[in-house]
Amino acid sequence: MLIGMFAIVAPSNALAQDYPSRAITLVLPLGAGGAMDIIARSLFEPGLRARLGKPVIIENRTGGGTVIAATSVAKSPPDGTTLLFAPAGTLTTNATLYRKLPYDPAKDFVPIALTTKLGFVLSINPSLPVHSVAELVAYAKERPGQLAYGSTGIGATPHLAVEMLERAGHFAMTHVPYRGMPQALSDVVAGHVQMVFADPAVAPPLINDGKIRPLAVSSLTRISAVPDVPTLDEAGFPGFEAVSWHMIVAPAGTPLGRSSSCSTANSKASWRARNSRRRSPRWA
Amino acid sequence: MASQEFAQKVAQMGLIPIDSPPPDALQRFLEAEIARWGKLVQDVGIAGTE
Repeated sequence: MLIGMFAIVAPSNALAQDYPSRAITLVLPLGAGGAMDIIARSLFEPGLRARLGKPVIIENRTGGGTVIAATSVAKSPPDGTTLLFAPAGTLTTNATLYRKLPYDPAKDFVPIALTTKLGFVLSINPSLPVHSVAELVAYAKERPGQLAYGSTGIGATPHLAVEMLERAGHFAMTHVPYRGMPQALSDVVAGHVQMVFADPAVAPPLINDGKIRPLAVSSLTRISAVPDVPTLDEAGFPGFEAVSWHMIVAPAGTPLGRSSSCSTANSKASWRARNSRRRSPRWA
Repeated sequence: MASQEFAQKVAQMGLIPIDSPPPDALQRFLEAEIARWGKLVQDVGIAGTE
């Protein structure tokens, strides 16, 4: 049922006849206009409406980081009619970042579908005399703490990705958290900070104008928006992956039903095939 | 095909489309991610700061 429904990316026809009994609400912890909102409204909603013959309500429940939305879904009846479309941090780093989180990411939800990953573009101010990740690391090692990088906030992926890279490359930079990606990027362009893991949705025009220089992407696969930029895995950090991702989850106890055995088998086989190719991270 | 439309649209947004793993693998993925990022948050020294 639920599993099959959200296999919109790999269509299956394994929907239970009697599901759902009423409209589904998909809660987004983020505001309108962002990538997750666009995916939910332009892809999930029409796809599910066509399958179910009922509207799916996309509800932007913002505030308190993403905690308010996640908490409300965690406490919703586990009947499959209330779902959460969560960014990775809501389900991963929040568990450790928050002194008191009103929900338990591991226990209060059951995962339904992983839909998308978000890799970041390691970008520097072009006045920096480096043209590769190896040169950047060497340059930073000679200047411990003197280079600064921006991020979208303490504990956000663009922050933690640099922390990961510093540990792997044995260098140290100074962290400057910003309110959002536009602010961080504009300070890299202005040269107030030297580096940022930029959102690939906004980096390409700045790259094309020569205002930032991309060195690598933080995903294991290249990003189609910047196809010429190598992965960190290719650029000397085997297995490096620091991405955000988006997942649909339901309150714990929601009966998942079963998608057709055929599509489940296919899905398992392709998942295994993809992951058997993946190298284990040596930098960890 | 919905899968191709999905892949194309999300790629245009700079995202990487995922063919979601089956539920048991997805649960293990989530648990591994909680552990991996949690360890980094501890190492960085920002645990419990929110």
